[in-house]
Amino acid sequence: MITLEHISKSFNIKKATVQALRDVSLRVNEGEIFGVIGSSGAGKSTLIRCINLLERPTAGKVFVDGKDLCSLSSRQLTLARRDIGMIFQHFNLLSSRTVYENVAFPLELNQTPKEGITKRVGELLALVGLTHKAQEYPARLSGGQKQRVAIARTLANRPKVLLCDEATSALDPETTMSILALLKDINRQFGITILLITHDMHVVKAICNRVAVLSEGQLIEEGQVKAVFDHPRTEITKRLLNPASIFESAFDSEDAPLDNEVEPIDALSGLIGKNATEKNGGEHV
Amino acid sequence: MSESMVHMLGGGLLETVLMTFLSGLIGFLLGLPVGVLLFLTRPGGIWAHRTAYQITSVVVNAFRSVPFIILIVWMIPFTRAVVGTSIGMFAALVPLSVGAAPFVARMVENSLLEVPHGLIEAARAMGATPIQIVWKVLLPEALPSLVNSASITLIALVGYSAMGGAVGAGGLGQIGYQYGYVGYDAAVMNTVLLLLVGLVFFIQWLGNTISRSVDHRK
Ligand SMILES: Nc1ncnc2c1ncn2[C@@H]1O[C@H](COP(=O)(O)OP(=O)(O)OP(=O)(O)O)[C@@H](O)[C@H]1O
Ligand SMILES: [Mg+2]
Repeated sequence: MITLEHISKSFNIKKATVQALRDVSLRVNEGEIFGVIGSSGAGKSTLIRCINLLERPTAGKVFVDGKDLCSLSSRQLTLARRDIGMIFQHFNLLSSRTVYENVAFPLELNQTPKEGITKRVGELLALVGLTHKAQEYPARLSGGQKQRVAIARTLANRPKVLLCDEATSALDPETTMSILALLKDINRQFGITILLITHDMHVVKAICNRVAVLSEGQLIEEGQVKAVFDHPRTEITKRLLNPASIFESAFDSEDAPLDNEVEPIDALSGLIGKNATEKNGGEHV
Repeated sequence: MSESMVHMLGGGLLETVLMTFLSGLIGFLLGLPVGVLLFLTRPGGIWAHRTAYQITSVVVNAFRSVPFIILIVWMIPFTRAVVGTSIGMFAALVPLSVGAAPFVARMVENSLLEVPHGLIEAARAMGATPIQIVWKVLLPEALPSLVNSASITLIALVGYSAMGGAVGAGGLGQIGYQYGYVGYDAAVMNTVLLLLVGLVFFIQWLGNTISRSVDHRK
């Protein structure tokens, strides 16, 4: 359903070049839930944004539902995007529109007649359990409710594929589970192929069929979730699977004495500092 | 104060109000598309286009740097060609609108820059065309801020229209000029001042009220 062939992406900031993705190839089958896991700055967002060409890869090809997206004109690409759903970490609901109007938004884009919109929005709000919030503005909703609205909105045009960029990272564990259950439900009920990216292995364990590990712009492991998680082949994957180990080693290590000379927090930042800087660099303006 | 004085001040107020709001409206109609163009073509924008952005930007800045009183005089031939005269309220509308437009354009550009980038991304991901992004995302999301820009513009125009009064634009400005500069009449001057201050307060209040009622960001 989604095929990436030798995708590379580099950004030029002033004179420096950041290589965000290096020769990534990936195949997501129809009806599958595929997870991409990686630490901060690994290139996950860049990867998912390359699939609907929000970001154009520097090299390589993207096929979604058999269409070679890079070869489309900008008009054709705009239309093709209506078949590719996307949800975001920060929901991105329109603050000027009510819940109802937010879900109606993608239907307005392709001039759906009014009765069609009313009917479809009604179905979708029922699906995500927010019929009673139809006339509220997003500012009045909880994070979980906002993500439900975003899911309803992205399903409005019956996409075949759903891309999730850290869709649960801003939510508490309980709400995360309810959103994941909803995604799983949508996948089963409508056969929508889901590609999700996350830094949280619990998300992958909860709903993914297959998983790929992204590190410094490269795919370093790929396979069935159970196989990859039970027998990680690389150090990086092991660390992703056991994030606590990084803290333990920081405190146990000889280099991190717990006296006044070095604050423990410094020892920690020595270990995670690289990621921390990359994270800041990765924020978009 | 005689009845004819009251009559004259009332007429002056009406003229000032009309001049302010009409030139504000025309200025907004001229400035809004230019502001949107600046936003779309700026580096990293949806229609990023260096040359278009720079040309528009230079023109806007050039007009903004001309002092208003000079603009009025400089535009006299153009005003005559458009309105047929360079004296009176309707003649004043021409330089007032042209003076307001670049001001509006910059404020619109700034208001649009405040719209969270994620919303534009989401709209692109949903397959919105650039036109749809402008109409359905950018302008509605920036509305509270655009309303505030409108009240700032109108308040500036109250000041400009009074300046125009000195060169025959009519309104409270001209009354103030005649009864203050030519021969000092304290009662008239104080009334003119109070009316202008009242008008500015009214515009600010109206702007705040409307802006609040269209703001659903909490
Ligand atoms: N628009 C951009 N301009 C320049 N560099 C960018 C841009 N987007 C991403 N990068 C760089 O590409 C690399 C990967 O960033 P990306 O946002 O894809 O990481 P990520 O895995 O999503 O991280 P996070 O978990 O923090 O969201 C980073 O080094 C980042 O600085
Ligand atoms: Mg990211």
